[in-house]
Amino acid sequence: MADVTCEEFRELASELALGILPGRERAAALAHRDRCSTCREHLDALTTISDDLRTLVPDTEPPVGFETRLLDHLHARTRVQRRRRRLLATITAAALVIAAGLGGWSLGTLTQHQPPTAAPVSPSPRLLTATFTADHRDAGQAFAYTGTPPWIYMAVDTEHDTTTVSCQLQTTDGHLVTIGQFQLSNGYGYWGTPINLDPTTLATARLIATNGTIIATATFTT
Amino acid sequence: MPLRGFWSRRAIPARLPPVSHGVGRAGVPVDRLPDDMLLAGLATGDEEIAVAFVRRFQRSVFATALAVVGDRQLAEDVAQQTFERAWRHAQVFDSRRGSVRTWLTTIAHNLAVDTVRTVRPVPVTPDDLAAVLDAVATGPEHHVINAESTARLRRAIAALPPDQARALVLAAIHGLTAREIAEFEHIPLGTAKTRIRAGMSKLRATLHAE
Ligand SMILES: [Zn+2]
Repeated sequence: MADVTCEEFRELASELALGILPGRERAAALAHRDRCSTCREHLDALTTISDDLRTLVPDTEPPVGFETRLLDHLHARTRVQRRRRRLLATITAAALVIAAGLGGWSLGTLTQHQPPTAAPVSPSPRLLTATFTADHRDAGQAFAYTGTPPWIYMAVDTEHDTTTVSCQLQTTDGHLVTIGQFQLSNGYGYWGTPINLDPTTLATARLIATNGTIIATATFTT
Repeated sequence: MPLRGFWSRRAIPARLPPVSHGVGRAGVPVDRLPDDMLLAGLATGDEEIAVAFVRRFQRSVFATALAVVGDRQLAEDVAQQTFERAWRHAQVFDSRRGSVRTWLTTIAHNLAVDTVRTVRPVPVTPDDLAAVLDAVATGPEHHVINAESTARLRRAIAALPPDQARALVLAAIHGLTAREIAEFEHIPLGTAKTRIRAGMSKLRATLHAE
């Protein structure tokens, strides 16, 4: 299909945002979106509306046994390792820190039974997450909190017998900073610290053994 | 630069109480964790987090799938795939781009549309549509966090001409194309397209203006 103009794109944008534009027109419209930032913004606004509309569908109770079947299926898929269960405590601990009011983040999200707070002044802090991998396997989680003060928290479970690891952060502009050390016990440990950098600029967190070996890496996607 | 964090293995009791019983006075029971924390927790493979996550979202995910496929067995398959995908891709979730609920329902909707891409019976009757439309315009809030934006969207839909509101619900929720909407409503294709476009731009203008 021939190139579409901005005007033609506007004609198609609603159906594109709703995900119902037939193939040929869709391809042409997407090609235009990729090179026209004005139309891209227009489409993004419509897509947000379309996505939000979908969440208004009234809840429907799934068939009896759905939950059990689903959980069995998920567990069969992921082959839960028993030792990884230990990480639960640490995730909960991270929640605790947030709930304890290290930032305003918990207020808006935890108090579901109360009216929303009137006027959020600054953009609400966010919790960025990244998965540690070691030898191509999941090896824990890193959480970076964008509130004041910003902090990072990590929980790892590796096969390494190293006991002391240092944590090195790399920012998206290539800056490297070592933020501290902590101990692992049988490859397992958790640790958190305030950081002096903007968490949204984080590219990776690396755990490095005393002999310089990189034990695990977590990549933040932004 | 602190050598030790404000937290270390020593700073936290090694054995936290079982999460299902809550984690103490200031703690958060697992079923009260914020949506994105629960999603992040899925990566641990922990059963309690998985259960809490599934319980929180299963009705919404199932309803989203059912609205498109119109068959409960098929909707269950789609819902299952949705949770599996969420589990695998939890780390790419970006809270700046929307809520966990929106992310999940978008996954469910797209999987459902792919499932029935070829031929399917229209998944909705005119009576169903009236009920869904009513619920969309006036239904209860899922979460107080999003209450204000949800309420604004409901008001904006309620303010649309009914034929435009129907077209948008058929498209966004039931996944009908303009051609299918034309058949469903017994109107020309051009009219269906116009209703979709007019409805979307009115919603956008209303939400933008408020
Ligand atoms: Zn353009």
